[in-house]
Parts: sequence; structure tokens; C-alpha cells
Amino acid sequence: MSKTASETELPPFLQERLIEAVGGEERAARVKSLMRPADELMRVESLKCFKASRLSFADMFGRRMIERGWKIRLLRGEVDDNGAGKFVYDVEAEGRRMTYIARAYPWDGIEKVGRRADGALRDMFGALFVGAASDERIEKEFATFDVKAEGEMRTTADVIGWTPANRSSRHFDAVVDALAAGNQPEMDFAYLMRNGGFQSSGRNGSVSFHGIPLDHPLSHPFYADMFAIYLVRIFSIDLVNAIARRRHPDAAQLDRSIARNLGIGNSSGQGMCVALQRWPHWVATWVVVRELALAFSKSQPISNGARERMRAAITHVIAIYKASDPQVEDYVTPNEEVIANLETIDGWVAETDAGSWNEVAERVAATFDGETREQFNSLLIDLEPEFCDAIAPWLRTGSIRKRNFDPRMTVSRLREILRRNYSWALQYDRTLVSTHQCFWYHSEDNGEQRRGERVIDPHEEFESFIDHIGLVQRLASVLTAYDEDTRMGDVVLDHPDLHYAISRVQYLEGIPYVEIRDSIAHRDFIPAELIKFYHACLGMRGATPLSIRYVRGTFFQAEPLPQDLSETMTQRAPQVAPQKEVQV
Amino acid sequence: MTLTVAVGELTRVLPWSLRALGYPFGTADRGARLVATASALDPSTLDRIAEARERPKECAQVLRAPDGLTVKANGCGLFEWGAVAMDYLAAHAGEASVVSAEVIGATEVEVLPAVLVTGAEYGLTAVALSVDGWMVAARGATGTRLYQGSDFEVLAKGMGLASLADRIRQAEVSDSLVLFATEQTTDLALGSPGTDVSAAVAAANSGGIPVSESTLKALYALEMITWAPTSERSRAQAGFTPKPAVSS
Repeated sequence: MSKTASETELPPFLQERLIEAVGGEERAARVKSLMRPADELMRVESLKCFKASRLSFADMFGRRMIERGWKIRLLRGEVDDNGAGKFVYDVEAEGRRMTYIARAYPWDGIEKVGRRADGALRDMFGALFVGAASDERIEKEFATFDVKAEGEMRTTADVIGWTPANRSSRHFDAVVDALAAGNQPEMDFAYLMRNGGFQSSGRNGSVSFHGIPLDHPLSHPFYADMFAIYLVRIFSIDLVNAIARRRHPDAAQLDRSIARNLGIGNSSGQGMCVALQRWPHWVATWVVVRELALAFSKSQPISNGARERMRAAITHVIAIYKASDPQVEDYVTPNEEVIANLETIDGWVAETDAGSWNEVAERVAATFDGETREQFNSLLIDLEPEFCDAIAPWLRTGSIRKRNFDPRMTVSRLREILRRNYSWALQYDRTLVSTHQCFWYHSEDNGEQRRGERVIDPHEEFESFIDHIGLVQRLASVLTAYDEDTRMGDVVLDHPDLHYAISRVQYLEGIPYVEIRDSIAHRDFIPAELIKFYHACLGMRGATPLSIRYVRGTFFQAEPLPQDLSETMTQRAPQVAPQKEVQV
Repeated sequence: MTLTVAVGELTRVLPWSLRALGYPFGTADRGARLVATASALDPSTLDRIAEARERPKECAQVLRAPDGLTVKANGCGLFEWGAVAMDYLAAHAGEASVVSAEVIGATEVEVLPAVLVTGAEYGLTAVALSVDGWMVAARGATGTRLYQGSDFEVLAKGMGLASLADRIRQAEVSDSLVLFATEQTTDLALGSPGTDVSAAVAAANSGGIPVSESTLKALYALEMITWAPTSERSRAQAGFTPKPAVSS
């Protein structure tokens, strides 16, 4: 597969960082030649295999917390005999204060996976404030949580978002029982609570993303989401300790080494596919940054130091695979197989005399499945932290691109863009109904996203946007009725609804890796595959589909606790990696 | 504590609310953004949107003529036909000193400021005349500003462009909305500093937009029309079927 011109043109910021890193345009061109073509990479078959790396949001956010010396203190937290309680945290981050509050409800014996359909039925609600909240404001928010009625609970723009979450029925009570008896839990478990979906970016009246001050540490895509999940993790640990203490004054408190290995469980549904289709510039941004970092790493020679770091990384990731409990392995390469493959690769790395990592990467790609390939690729990315950090600012800038409409653009020009960027979509054969058989819709169960079949299921007229191939084909078809010189302002005057299609094609022009090059509406499309891609970009480890439409995994397992952050900072001055800012 | 609605909430909910009224996806998506901008400038816009009528099945009529564009909106929203009229003017602004459009019979005219701001973002000075007065959006050194008033002569004198002043004086405004646009440089002197659109939108983003409980409920109620009835089959289509073996 060959690359088109637009695929080899990097955004100027990335091009500049690459030239700085390699020392010239000629070498930069060699790195870019290692970036895979969009026709290969932007297929679901490839995207589904992506794995978390240093450039995933959870990883970037976690490093920021550590490097910039964030402090998180529990100010107060008491529970009653039923396990209900109120917790208040103070956060000091980069010169800003934030308040986080958490309301725990008594265990009602109902297992909740965290679906949108659950509505207000959650085991806890939390609120992360933009700044420090007064006692009066805190009590007001607690009172709002206690309404516990979907649609009746409102907040205001001083809140970044709400963190609903649910207990793990398997582990929570067992941990409390052990602690209350003065013991540490002995079972193997990954988390105490599951994320119920961070409700932010305007939901329930919370502040809009663009309303968070630009100099606020959470004014970055997904940083607030990651911090919210991290805070639920901390709260879950404090909650089991508090309940155990309430039961017995001499109760043990969760050992820090055990607590550190706890993350937050997360299950995601197919609504994530709609988000990926709705925000194609997010996808393009994530992929171009990752692929450029990977190409840079592939171009590097295999030094002894890098060889040892890679071998240590392989050992570490094998340990994660061994520790994870996939429950279902119907839709992924089984963990045992990935582990065996990584062990083989470790042997290759130990012995190779290859000139660059690219030779090893090519051998891996030629030998193993996609998941093993992308796991190795993620480890390769992590080998070059300085370059990763240099290009990471693009993840913010590229993700806040505006979808503007150019009414002066001619039909001729738009056709040219369509031919260059969408030939794959224009050539897609939609003759068979199966190619666009499914549609996504909101259900009256609190608006939960579900996937139905056209004709059979109701409400097709209110389907969520998912069929980008159909959209582009319709646009191209309509354009055939116009002269080359006709402008888009004339086209939308005849077809106002095409404003979305035209602006989508226009604003994605010139960006590498735009659009997922498969029909998401196809009968055989497996939503879990794109959910896995999303999870990898967020930074989830051990993500495995429970079904074709649901994926579970864990965030922040084995990451530092607030006490670790404090101790780290007393040992060294804050180290802020110098980063070039993106000029826009 | 005043009830507020977030800009991000509006752009998430309103596309569905407008689709419930019969507007297609692409139109509703754009309409939601226009309503959000208009509401940032004037929160009472939301009250009108909450009462919006279903989109008539009869399509609007468009007449392109050398002396200007005429759009008979036939009861469709200005967020649909006003917006595309502005697109048309932008596309043709280079062909004459001043281009114009007349929009007849549009509803939800409260989004007019956002339609004019769209024109300003295209680099135009965008003017609207109606029986209620005039409104102008233009880009200046400090960003896009929105001006409004009632005296057409004040407007004509303050535009700083003779050809535009002539068209304003010649305009016949009855039950229609008359739009003018020009790419030419204007030297506005409209007797007021106008409203800083970017600042208003930024304030709405950071502080939310005041809204009454009834309006907010009405907007959400419209959205819920687009939610499909639930059933066993539908619940299964969410993808999570709890099994004893997967209890946590």
C-alpha cells in the first residue's frame, strides 16, 4: 500500500520536533518513511490492536502529577454503620487548589456495572471542583447527590464533573471483612470500585471543556477524566479503611503495597464508537502522534542500553498479562499466546545484531498476530521518552481543532479532496444491505446507546451518526449535479443538511490518518474492537471484551498513591520536562 | 444558586432536540451550535427554542436573482435557512460590493445574532434589518463584535461604506428579514462599542448560561423524543448481559 501526499505531510509542530530530534530534513524523511500508510493503519483490524503507551492519556497525566508534585489530602471522611459517608479532599496542583468530594451510599446488594441505563443508581457519587469549594458549596453538592434521581440532579460551572462509581461485589466486602478482623486481604484482586462514567464537559450543568481556564492543569483532553478516575481509586481505598475502622477500632488499614496495586475497574460500551465517529480529528491526532513516535523509535539503532531497557519492559508487560484475568478471550489473542510471543521476542532482542529496531519490528509483524505486534510497538515507543514528550503537546492542539465550513470552496476543489482522502469510501460497495445493516440509537433507558438493525428495530430515523461512508457517498453523489465552479455556499443552500458532510471533509483536509476506513454500520463490525482502540489511547491496561459490545479493563493499577507522590517530592525538587508549546 | 446550562450541554442535547422537531442530522447539528452561540449572547433565546414548532414538511423555496437571494422559509427555523443564506452570501460576496438576501417566514429568529456572527467569521460585515430594528456583526481588531439598534438612518450613516448605506436606505422591510453582506472594509461608527462576541461565548463556557427550569426540562423533553422504547431485545442490544460467571 502506498502513501498519499497528505499522509507524508506532518503538522508543522510535529515536523519541527522531528527535524530537531534527528538533525535535518533528510533524516526526518527517513523516519516518516517508516510510518505506515493510512490504508493499512486506519482499518479496524489494525486499530483494535493498539496498546497503551507513554503517549496514552493516563500515562501522560500520571507523569504530570508526579513530575509537578501534585498533593492530594483527605481532609475529612467518616462513615456510618451502613457504610454511608462523606469524604472531602484538597488537591494542590501547580499552584491551583481543587476540591474533590465523594459521597458513599450503603451497599444495597445490587451489582451495578456502571451502565448509563443505571441512571442515578450508583454506590457513590463524587464531584471535582474547578477550584477550592467552600463548606456551604460542598454541602450543597452533597445534597444534590442525595436526590439520586436522573434528570433532577444539577450542578454548576464551578464543577468539572461528577464521578459516579460502583463497588466490586466480589472484592469490596471481603477486603473490609479482612481489615475489620485486623488482617490484610489475601485474595488476588485488581480494584475495589468500578468507574461509572465521568460526567463532565457540560453534563448536568458542569463546566464546558472550553470553560476550564487555559492555565488550569486539567485544561487538556482527558486529563480531567483521568484525574477523576484516579480520585475514585484513592477514595475506594480510603472508604474500605473507614468502614473497617467503623466496624472495629483496631481494624487494620490496607497495606500501602496492596493499595498501590489496586486500580479502578472500567467497563465501556459501544457508545464509544459513536464518539470516535463524531470526533474524527481526535482519532487522527492520537494515531499520528503514536505512529510518528513509533517510526522514530524504529529508526534508532539498537544500543546495549536500549536492548536492556526493552528486555526489562518486556518482562514488566508479561507480568501485567499474567496478572490480568480476561474472563473471556473470544475476541482477542489469548493472553497466554501473547505472553509466549513476547518471550520469543525477548530472545530475539537479546541476540539480534540488527542495525535498527525497525528490523526487529518487521520480524515481529511478519511472525505474530496484530496484538503482539502492537504490544511490541508500544514498548518501542516507550524506549524514546524524550521524543515522545517533545511531540506530546500535539495531542492537545490536534484534538481541539474546530470543524469550520468554507462556503467559498468550489465543487472542483471539494471533489479533489474527496478523491484524495476518501477514494476508499467512494469505492466502497454498499450494494448489499449487510454493509450498512446496523444503526446506533439512544434508548429510553436513560439514553443508553444501543445498536439495532435497520427495518427490524424502531427509531432508525433518530440514529446516531455512525455511517461516514454513506455520508461521503451521498455528498459525492449530490456534487455530480453541480458545475465545477459552483461554491459550497450554493450547495448548502439547496441541501442545508450537507453542511455537516462538507465541513467534515473540509476540516479534515491535510491531516494525516483521518477517518476509520471501514463501515461501522456493517453487520459484521464488532464494536468492542474500536472500544479497545479507545481504551488503549486512554491508557487502560488489560482491556478485554466481555462481549462484542462491551470491554473491561483497569486504570491506574500499580501507579503511585498520594503518599507516594508526597514522598517522591520530598526526595527531589519538582522536575518539569521542558516542552515546546504549540503555536496556533 | 441560579440554574445554568452549559454550552457543552447544549451542543450535546440540542442536536437531538432539533431532530425531534424534524430537522435532519446535518441541519440539527449546525442549528445546535448556532442556538448555543445565540444563547451565550442572549439567554432568553433558549426559551424560544424550547417552544419551537415541528419543522413543516413543505420545503422552503429559494429564488436566486441578480439583485439578491430570496428564501421563503415557510415556517422553518432561521438556524436552517438564515444560516445557509449567509453561506450563500459569503460564497458570492466577491462578486459585488454588497450582496443581499431576504428571508421570509422563518421561525426562531432569536438565533439571528449567531447567523450574523457566522458571516463575520467568514470575514464579512453582516447586516440584518427587520421591523424590530437592525443588527450588525463584524470582525474588528479585538475580535467579532455585535451591534444593534432601531434607527436605520443611524445604521446607514455608521457603516462607513457608501454602497452599503445606500442599500440600507433602499431596503423595504415588512415581515421579512433582510440580510446584507460585504467583504469590503467598513469603518463602523454605530454609537456603541457593541458586544464582544468572543467574551460572551467565553463567559458562557466558563460560567454557563442562565436558564429556567421549565425551559431546560422542555429542551430535554424534546431530546427524549428521539430515544427508542426499551424492550428485552433493546436491552440486549446494549451488549452487557450479566452472567453468573461475570459478576464483577
